[in-house]
Amino acid sequence: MTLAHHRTFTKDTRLDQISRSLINWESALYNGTYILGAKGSGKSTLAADIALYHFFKGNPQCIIDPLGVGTIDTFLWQVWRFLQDMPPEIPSSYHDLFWKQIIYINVASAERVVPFPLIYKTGQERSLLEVAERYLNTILMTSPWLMHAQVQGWPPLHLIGSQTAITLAALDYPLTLALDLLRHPEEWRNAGRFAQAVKNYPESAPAVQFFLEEYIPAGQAKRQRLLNPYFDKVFVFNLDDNLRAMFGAIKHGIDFDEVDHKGQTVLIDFRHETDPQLKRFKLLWIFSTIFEYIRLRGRKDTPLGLIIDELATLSQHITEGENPLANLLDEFINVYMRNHHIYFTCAHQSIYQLDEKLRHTLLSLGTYLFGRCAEITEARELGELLWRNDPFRVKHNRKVWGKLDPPYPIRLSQHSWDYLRQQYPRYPYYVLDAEPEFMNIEEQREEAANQLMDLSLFDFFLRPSLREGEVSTDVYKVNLASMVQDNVTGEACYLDQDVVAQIRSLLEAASGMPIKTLLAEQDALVSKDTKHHVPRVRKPDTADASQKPPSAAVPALPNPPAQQHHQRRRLIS
Amino acid sequence: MWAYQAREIDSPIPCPYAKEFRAIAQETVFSRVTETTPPEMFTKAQQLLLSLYQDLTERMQQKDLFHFPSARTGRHWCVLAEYEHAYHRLRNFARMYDPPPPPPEPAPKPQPLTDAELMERLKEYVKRRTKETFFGQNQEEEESA
Repeated sequence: MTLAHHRTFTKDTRLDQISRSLINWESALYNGTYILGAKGSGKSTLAADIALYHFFKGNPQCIIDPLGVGTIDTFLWQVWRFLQDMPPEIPSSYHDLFWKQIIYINVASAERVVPFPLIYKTGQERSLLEVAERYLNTILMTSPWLMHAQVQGWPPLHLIGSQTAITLAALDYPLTLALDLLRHPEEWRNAGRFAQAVKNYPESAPAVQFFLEEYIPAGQAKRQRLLNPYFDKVFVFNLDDNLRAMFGAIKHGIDFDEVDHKGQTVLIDFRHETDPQLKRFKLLWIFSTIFEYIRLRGRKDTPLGLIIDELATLSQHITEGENPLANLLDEFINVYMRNHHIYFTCAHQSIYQLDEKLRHTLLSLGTYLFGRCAEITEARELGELLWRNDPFRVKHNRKVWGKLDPPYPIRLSQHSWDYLRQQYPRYPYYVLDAEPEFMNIEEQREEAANQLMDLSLFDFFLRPSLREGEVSTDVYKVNLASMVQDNVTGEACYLDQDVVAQIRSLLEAASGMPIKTLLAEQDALVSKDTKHHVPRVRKPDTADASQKPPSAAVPALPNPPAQQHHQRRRLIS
Repeated sequence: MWAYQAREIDSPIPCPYAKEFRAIAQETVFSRVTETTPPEMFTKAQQLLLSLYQDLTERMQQKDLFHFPSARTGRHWCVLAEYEHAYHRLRNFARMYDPPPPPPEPAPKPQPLTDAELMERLKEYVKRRTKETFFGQNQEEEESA
């Protein structure tokens, strides 16, 4: 049951007020909303108001907030204040209805996580390659320069990554076992896992064949050369319990179908992820997962809200070549956003944070909400987008003066003429005409830029989208100060950090799953009897070695790790 | 008396004491009763009428021992009947001009929930919610299956 069924208690958001007075907000959201504003201009508060709008309408939504302190905190604070304004005799079970609608995810929690596995099947994939390519495409988005490194870059990474992921997917194993597979392929073969993979999914036979016929017989040096770029990306998942639990889980922690059905709000908070590389990877992976769901979702009557604050943290500046993220967003905005009824909203600080392709992609969104700009060059560009320059715009009308001369003889000299004109005030100068003087384009740009620079806190210029393919030519100035004002006293009521932190920690416990449970689940995948501890010889394996007993067939690695993964596991068990 | 007149029967004849009572009561009490007369004035007027009745009765007994002893029989309208009449008249005026009862005091506005109370509710929700994690539910379902 969504909140739309509980309209008795609902909040009039600022967007509702705008919707009543100025525009049809549903149409504006339909074509995507682009929020730009310098630090402290109130854009996160605005994004939170859009989130509240969806929340009280019962629309499902996902809010991705790399910083957390803006949109997510404001949203939770607004919900908190709303519940506080309810009559106290309302039973707590009624409050539960609202809390149940919120799923809070702390992506860097040390105790509880919501899994986003790197290998997952939706049932709609054409082949296992599609499953395998998801993670590899995300790697490409986080490190686009890999495409240009042909030797130690994309080609070997793609080769190893896809074969490994296909094999693991065929076994329903998580990607966190990739290291084990690549380090000890012989033991996997002897444990019969390759055969099991082919048995489960015959289409995985080429990948298994690659391991049996190319990878295992290859020398250690060749293996290492192939593995380097891939290992560089996957080794971290085994070093951190949070990463292993989050990305190595068996199934997703969020059922997006349920979110959609119940009209829930998913808050994804990245504030505690301090490593910028990891943060970008997590952002992109979670965005890709949501995008995958959107692809499969199709069109529904109920829109799905997707709000990304500080979008620039997802992107990388690409000076030349293609930007994979721009391509992904381009596909999302131009193909899926409108067709699949997604109300997409993104916010960031400056257009210069993005490269040109991504900038153009985002500027194709229908509704603009531009706040104060930090610098004049950006303000000029944005001003040009908001207001249409009119070459015939009249700056002012210049008076044209005229005078009728008295009828004097023509023979008079010029001096006499002048003398006579002064002597006859009956014929004064008068305004003969008014000649318009047009404002040139540069001046119009400056005027627009100054308007953007002079905006104060919570002031935004709104250029709404009217309907599909049509944007308004009017620009409205809206103020969101009422978002942070008390309903009764009208005083500014800023959020209480302590209260919001407590709400977050409680909601995290309600949504997440214990890391220990998830790790135990992963460990249980590899049963004890198949755990490998076999002597190895230096000679590379041959094709007919599989016929021999395992102990004799599997060679040892020349430089075995000091403490092997499987040994550690055995010691623990 | 008007009731007698309406029924076209001989109306009672007021005695001089009754007439005097009526005249004094009209002049001193009823002519001053208005819609804005406060309730305590009616009480005082009631006491005035009573004392007037007692004075007249006392005088009557002193001066006219053979005054018709009962005012309730025959056509004699004596001071007692006049007093009762005035008493009821004044009482009805008092009831009619009673000021409307003051509006009931508005119920005290309920105090909004404090942060602590609200947090307690959230904690209870989380406690319930964590009990029904899908791991737990799944296990129960499997066991029951």
